[in-house]
Amino acid sequence: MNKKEALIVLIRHSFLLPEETKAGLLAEVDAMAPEDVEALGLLLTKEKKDALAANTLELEEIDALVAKIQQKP
Amino acid sequence: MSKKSRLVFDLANSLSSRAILQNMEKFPSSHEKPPAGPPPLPEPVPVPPPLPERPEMPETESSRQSRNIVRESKWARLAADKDIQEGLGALARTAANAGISLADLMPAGIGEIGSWGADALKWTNWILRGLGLIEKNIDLTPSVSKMTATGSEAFEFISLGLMPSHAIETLLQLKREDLPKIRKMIVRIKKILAEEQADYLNNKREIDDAMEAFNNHDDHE
Repeated sequence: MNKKEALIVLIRHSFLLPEETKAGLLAEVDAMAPEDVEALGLLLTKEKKDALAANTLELEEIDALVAKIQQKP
Repeated sequence: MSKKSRLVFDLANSLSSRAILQNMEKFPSSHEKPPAGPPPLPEPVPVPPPLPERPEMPETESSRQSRNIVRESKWARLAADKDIQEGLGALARTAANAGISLADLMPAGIGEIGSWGADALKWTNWILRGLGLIEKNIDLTPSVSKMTATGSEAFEFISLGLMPSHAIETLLQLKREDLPKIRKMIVRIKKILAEEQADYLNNKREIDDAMEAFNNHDDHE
């Protein structure tokens, strides 16, 4: 997978970007300079890693919170 | 970090901050009458299995920045959801009502200022909205009728100001409207977070390959 293809995948599966921004960026990827592809790809890779790591923990915390609320209606 | 990377970070940071500010303006005050009867329990949300543990990497300045951006953006995205906006509004209203109820415990009539103020706000809200002068609902207990709110102040006279009468309105508001909205918000947050997890698990190989393409540079940051 080359970097532009990778960037397209990361944009499509990004949690950080709203749908309109995703559409705008996807239309621009072909015309992007390699440095921009690199910078955006790096950001989205970090975003995805951090978000996935945090989500597992947050989902556990939310489960505990829901259980607490349901105990005291 | 290169200048371009820094530029993208700054851009993402400012976009996410702006989104949060815009969403804060939109925090609602509900105009709807809640349905009668006990609040419905939130529907269970299917949660995908947890991800395998990743080896811990030393944290760098860019990792910290990235994590802050993700956190801000995540909350900006969550706060754009209607159910979550309503839940946050309910949470803020509950905090304000709880504060007034606590202050209402103060003797010698000092505590009544907040309680009477909240009742005055309810009547002012009714008059101004009736005249079409304001659109927002500034009532702190919209699910409690004006008569109940004002009538509960009678307990202040009976108890010589010792009873926190605003607690009655606070509890009614919490039970009738705010607690169901807070529950709904929590379930919605869970659903959105679970969606992202599920999206990753369904497209794991493709996403992992894409992240791998940028991983070498990440390690040198």
